[in-house]
Amino acid sequence: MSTEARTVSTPALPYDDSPVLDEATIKKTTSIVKRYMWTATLFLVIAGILGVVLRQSQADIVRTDDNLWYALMTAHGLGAFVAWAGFFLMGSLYWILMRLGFPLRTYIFAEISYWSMVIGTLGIVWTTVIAGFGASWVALYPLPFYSQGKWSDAATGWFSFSVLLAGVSILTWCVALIVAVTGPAIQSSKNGWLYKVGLALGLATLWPSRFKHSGERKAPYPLIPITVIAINMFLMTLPFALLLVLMIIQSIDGSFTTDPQFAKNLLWAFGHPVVYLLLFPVVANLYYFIPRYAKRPLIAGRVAVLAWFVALITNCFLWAHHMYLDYPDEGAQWLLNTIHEPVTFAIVLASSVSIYALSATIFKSNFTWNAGSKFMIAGIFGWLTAGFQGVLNADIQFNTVLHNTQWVVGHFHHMALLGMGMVLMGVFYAVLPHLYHKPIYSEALADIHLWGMLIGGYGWVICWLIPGLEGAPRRWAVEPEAWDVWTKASIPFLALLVIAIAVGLYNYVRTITGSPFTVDVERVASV
Amino acid sequence: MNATQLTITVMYCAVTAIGVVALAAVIATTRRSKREAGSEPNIEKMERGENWWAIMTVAILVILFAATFAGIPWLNRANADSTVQVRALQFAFVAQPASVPAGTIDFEVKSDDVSHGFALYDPDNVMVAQIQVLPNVTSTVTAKLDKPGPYTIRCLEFCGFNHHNMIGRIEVTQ
Repeated sequence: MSTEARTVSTPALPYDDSPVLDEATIKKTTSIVKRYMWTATLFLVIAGILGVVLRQSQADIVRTDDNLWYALMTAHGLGAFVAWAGFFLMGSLYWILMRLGFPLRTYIFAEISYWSMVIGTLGIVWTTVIAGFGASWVALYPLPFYSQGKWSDAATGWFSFSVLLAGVSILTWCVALIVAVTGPAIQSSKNGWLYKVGLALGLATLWPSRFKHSGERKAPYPLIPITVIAINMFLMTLPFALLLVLMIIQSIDGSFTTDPQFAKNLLWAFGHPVVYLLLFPVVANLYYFIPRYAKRPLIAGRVAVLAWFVALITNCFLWAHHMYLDYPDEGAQWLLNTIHEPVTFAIVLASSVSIYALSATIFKSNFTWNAGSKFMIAGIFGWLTAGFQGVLNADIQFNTVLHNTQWVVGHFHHMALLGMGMVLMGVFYAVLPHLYHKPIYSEALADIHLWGMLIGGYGWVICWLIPGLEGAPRRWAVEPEAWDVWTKASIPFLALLVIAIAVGLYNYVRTITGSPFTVDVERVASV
Repeated sequence: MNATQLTITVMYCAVTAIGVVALAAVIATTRRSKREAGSEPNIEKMERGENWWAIMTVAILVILFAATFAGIPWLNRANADSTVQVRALQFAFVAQPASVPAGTIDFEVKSDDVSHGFALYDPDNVMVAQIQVLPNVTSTVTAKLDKPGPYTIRCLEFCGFNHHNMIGRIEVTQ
């Protein structure tokens, strides 16, 4: 390794308290992070193409076969949400942990997580696009076994197995994170594993008489959302894994059945927390990067820690807000739904306090504006504006008119792409110089990428939100004529969005194929 | 739009406008001219502000919860003038009777096969009510139908390859 390369392998940051790590750790972690990020980006391309096919078909440009449309919808949903955004952010946390001085202590879990996600995703693509499984990503039981001849029970079994592999990926990732955050770097005054988890959750700030660090360094703030999501996803992936196993058994033995209402609860016990598989890692990234752009520590205190502790608990008990409109005459689902409304509201606190903390950190700071920071700020705007929609969705009265309308489609595309996705793309711009020791190819192209996504993206989601407010149904291959105008109006915005993302991908690729840093290494490499 | 849809639209636009302007104002303070013109930010004060921010957030959520509690459909069901039994199956709705006089109507919906969504739209295509329909159990939704004319039932839970053609009708008379 040349002297210059060694210099840029750990570039100085404007504000940085990262411990110095050995070259082997940096090299190994960097290699895994690159793999996660680029594989996820490949899945973005595939899922994105499927999304374009779906929307243009609804706009009646080239109409697809009805079942194929629903099969592509199934692949697009899982591909974009889990295999792109989730997978990318999973990889990004390995890098954040390393920079915080909490590198992975063993790479085996990260490797299992990587390969199970890749194989699972390929299985999902095969069972949907080739075998015709088109029951949507939620595969609402018992629909997978009522295909009307469009796909076989074997396809249902293999689809369930493929999704189960993605679940294994999430579970092993959680283990990798927990093992890392409870390592020696936590500076614990006691040896107990749970005690160290408590320290990683920031409880030394919240409850100093009970939780103490052995050294002066407290758990850094990004560690808190990382620990929360690791615990949450480990616990809440298990119910869905059980449902998938039950469906696999039924695909083999048709006489075996499950109660649909129980199955729906199992599904959503995972189905909502998985949203935070994106949001909490995004917050961890923002907690890491924004103070470094602002050149001051994150302005947060005990309330932030408390809000995250509330999020840790409530994330395990809020799934029924996806079932507000399931209140059959028999049973007590209505009671669960009623309880889950205030619980869902409670999780808003973590987002609200985080946005305050980030805003206060930015306020009157000598902020570094570059491709990474611009995308992250745009992402905070998206998080804020889509977050308000989430609060409305969480209200039972409002949900009676919003549920399963195009408003929901607008909301999650807004949150996932214009909120989380924007931050994610900013993270890519921010870490590429560190991963490859090369400067971003073009800040001008990054600006085109940014503004194209903003104009195209917001125009595109508004064309779902407005008809959704009017009651337009979601997941219709052929939409009612009354709202057709919005579908057609969305196409130019979608085209702009696609072009913008293509420009971004070109910029990323040219960055890693470009020349290494030659001048002013520290300035260019700084986040 | 019905009254709830209109409330959501107004609330969302207002809150979003406030949020975006406030965040943009924070971003604007990072400009050199702004930084040099004003005083240094008081970090301790901003840290204390976190407490008030959290209290404000909780207060807003409590108010929202209280203000909309009366709108929870299973807690506040009106007495019905008549009842319509609806069978939902891939890919049709069968309503019995298919014609009812205007008034408050109970729709007792049951699915023969998979989960469906029962959503009722008035003659002006405004959503009046909806409920999820699980297989083999009855789900009842109550709706006040004032406007005479043809009402459209649409399936709002994805139920298979012909989901978008799962449309039913009932007639509301004077």
